[in-house]
Amino acid sequence: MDKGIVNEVYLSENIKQMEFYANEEKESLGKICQGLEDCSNYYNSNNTVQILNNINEFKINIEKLYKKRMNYNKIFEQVIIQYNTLSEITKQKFDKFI
Amino acid sequence: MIDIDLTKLKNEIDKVKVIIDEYEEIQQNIFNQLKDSCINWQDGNSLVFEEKTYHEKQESELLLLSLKNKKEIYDFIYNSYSEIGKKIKCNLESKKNVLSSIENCISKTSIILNDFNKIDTSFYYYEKNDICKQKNCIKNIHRSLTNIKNSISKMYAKIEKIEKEILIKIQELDNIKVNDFDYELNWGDNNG
Repeated sequence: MDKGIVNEVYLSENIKQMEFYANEEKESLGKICQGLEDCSNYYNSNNTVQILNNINEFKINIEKLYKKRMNYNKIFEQVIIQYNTLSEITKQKFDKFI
Repeated sequence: MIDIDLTKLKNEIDKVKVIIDEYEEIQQNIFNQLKDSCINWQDGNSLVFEEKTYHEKQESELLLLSLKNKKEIYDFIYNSYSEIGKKIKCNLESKKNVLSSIENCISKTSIILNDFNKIDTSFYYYEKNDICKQKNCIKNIHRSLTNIKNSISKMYAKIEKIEKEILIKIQELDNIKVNDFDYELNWGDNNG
């Protein structure tokens, strides 16, 4: 690709939205795991421990997923910084001729 | 020991279903944002990023599926045990003791019936009616106990079958692991 375009305003909005949904996702996954654990209060058998173990294993993913979503934002932020730097350098080069 | 309250279990399952549906929407919104970001950022890096998000979406869909599968185990528990009752308490470990106790009672009634058969009713003519009545009474008890034993035996077998099926379903559950996001910005000559 021989061109690069960044709409800083809209990409910043994507960052905000992503942060919002990442938090929503984390909260929602926590609630689902809690709900699945609550189900085990009303089904008690030798199998219950295995179900709870499986839910516990899943819980590790919640924080990892949150970090990953926030990582997308870090990338967007780096892109904005890079493009701002490039713009600044270009501006400075043209300023020399003015 | 098995202790199940199906009415309360159903309530919890329904709540989980609602939250999973909400989560599905959140996940959709996350990937809509990622798609949108690739409109607001277009260069060589964004092309690679967009391609990577395709795998991210697949991973998230698997994650969602694994949650649905966990919920479906509870659906299966609810549907299977609904055929038995609303509240179920059963100690599978005492199956042998319970059945042998009933069998013991059945054997006792068989011995009593044998004793009745030995009585010469022609000799005790006036008591014959009473003896026959008592003998029939024991016969009925014997029949009832046999039926009870068969029912209990079937119930234990049914519960054991359900529990085995639940265990198989739990063992079939996938353990999805979230991977790190394998992506790095590359500000070489052809990018950015």
